[in-house]
Amino acid sequence: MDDAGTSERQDGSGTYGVGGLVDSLDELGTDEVASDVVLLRRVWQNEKCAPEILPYEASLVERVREQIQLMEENIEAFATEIKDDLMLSLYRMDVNRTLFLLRSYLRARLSKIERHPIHIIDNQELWDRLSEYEQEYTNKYCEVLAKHFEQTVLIRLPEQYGSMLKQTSLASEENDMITQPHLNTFVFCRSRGAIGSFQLDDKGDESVDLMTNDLYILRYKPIRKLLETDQIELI
Amino acid sequence: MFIHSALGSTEIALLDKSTSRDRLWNRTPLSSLSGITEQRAELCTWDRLLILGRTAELIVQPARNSMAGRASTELESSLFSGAEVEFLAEDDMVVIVPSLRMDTLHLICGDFGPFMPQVPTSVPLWLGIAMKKRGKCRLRAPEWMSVENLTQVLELERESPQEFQPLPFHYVEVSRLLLDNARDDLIDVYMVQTLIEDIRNVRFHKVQSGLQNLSGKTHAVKLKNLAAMEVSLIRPFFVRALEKFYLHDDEELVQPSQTETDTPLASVDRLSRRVLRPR
Repeated sequence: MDDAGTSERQDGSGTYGVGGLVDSLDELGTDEVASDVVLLRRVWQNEKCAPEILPYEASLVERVREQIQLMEENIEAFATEIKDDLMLSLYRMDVNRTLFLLRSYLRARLSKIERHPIHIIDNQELWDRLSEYEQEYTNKYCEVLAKHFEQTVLIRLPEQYGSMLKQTSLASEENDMITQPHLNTFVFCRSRGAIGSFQLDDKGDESVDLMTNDLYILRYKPIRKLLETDQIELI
Repeated sequence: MFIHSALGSTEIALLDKSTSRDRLWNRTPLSSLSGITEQRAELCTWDRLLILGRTAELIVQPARNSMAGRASTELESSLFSGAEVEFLAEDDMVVIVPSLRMDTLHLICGDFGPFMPQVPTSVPLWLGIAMKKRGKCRLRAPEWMSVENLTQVLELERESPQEFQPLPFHYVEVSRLLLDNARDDLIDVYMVQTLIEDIRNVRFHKVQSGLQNLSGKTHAVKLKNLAAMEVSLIRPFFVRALEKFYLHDDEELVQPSQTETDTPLASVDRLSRRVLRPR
């Protein structure tokens, strides 16, 4: 669980700013009382399944971190006061499960950043989805990556092939060597409410009836709006 | 047919994983059927793949320099591992009968208890199993795990080849966990185990035959009542297959697809060709 890179970031994430990031779940979550763990669980699943990076859930992560910290302090106090091994171990299990969710969520995001760092930097919308720490990480990762390519390969190639972003400096005007997430992939999703007929392309000649709790395999691109508004969840 | 011939020449790497998970799928190893040796990726045409797909579990990866052009690890890393699926299942609620007195637990995931001897109470499965392992409670099998209900479900599964019966999303994992950890608390253990095994087999068979319905015209697949473990098993194959179909269905997408960003699809004559396949 603890490789140096990510656990370090987790320790640092205690100061994640609220920033301008919108916690979409908070906005919609008024009619239902879902615990933060349930929310985190859903956010984690969405993040794991979606091909692109999703908005960072700043306030949710913050709340969960606080709860974990509080619980850890409680356990410590409890351990000295009362000697009830069963209760203690159950509390510890609970903390560990929540910790796992949180770590896995942050890790899933990091792995997406590492997959398409330049694409994320280039795209303002995606860039705004990152937390402050993730932005810092992305920048540093790009630096290291560029340095590595430069030193191992690019320096040995003819000049026109020397760019990390272009195939050749003569033929390509735009940066055409940036990998991007594959948004036309298919995802498994479940509707969280009766959405009704939903168009799968712009023309409107293809639609699907989304019923509550039914499972569908759909192309990611048309349904990303539904994901943003929390009307569906990915599984 | 255009799609078919286009795919027929597409290089698709196959990796036979059937022996490693034979117990889950209960089928013959691929090697005996096709000469593809297990754990070794091979290139294969689409026609052959469809035939193989019905007899063995295949992991389909694009060949290194295929048109999709992206690392095969991308998809796999976004999947949930077996352990993660089980982790999710452990949040399902289960009724326990405690054998000790214990105060309410104020956990991050909610408050549970107080626990009184012989008074049934509802807790998450992981909590129940942890207490069971220490001999502090008995687990009560959920209602759907009764022999009567399972027998009925099995019958209905067999009668309707087109649909899946409603079972808990995590029925495979929950029953597995209960059978592994609380065998002595269950009634008719062997019967229950066999029934669940049979139900799983019938359902997997339906999923496999459903593969034949996938085509270039499939742009949405509805899988009502499919369970978590079944999703995990079919995901690599379904997603890859649908992606390929989508790619080859629209010639315009084949060439510039990699540089295309978020612009709406300039789709060509999709009008008549797209048909939803309800399952």
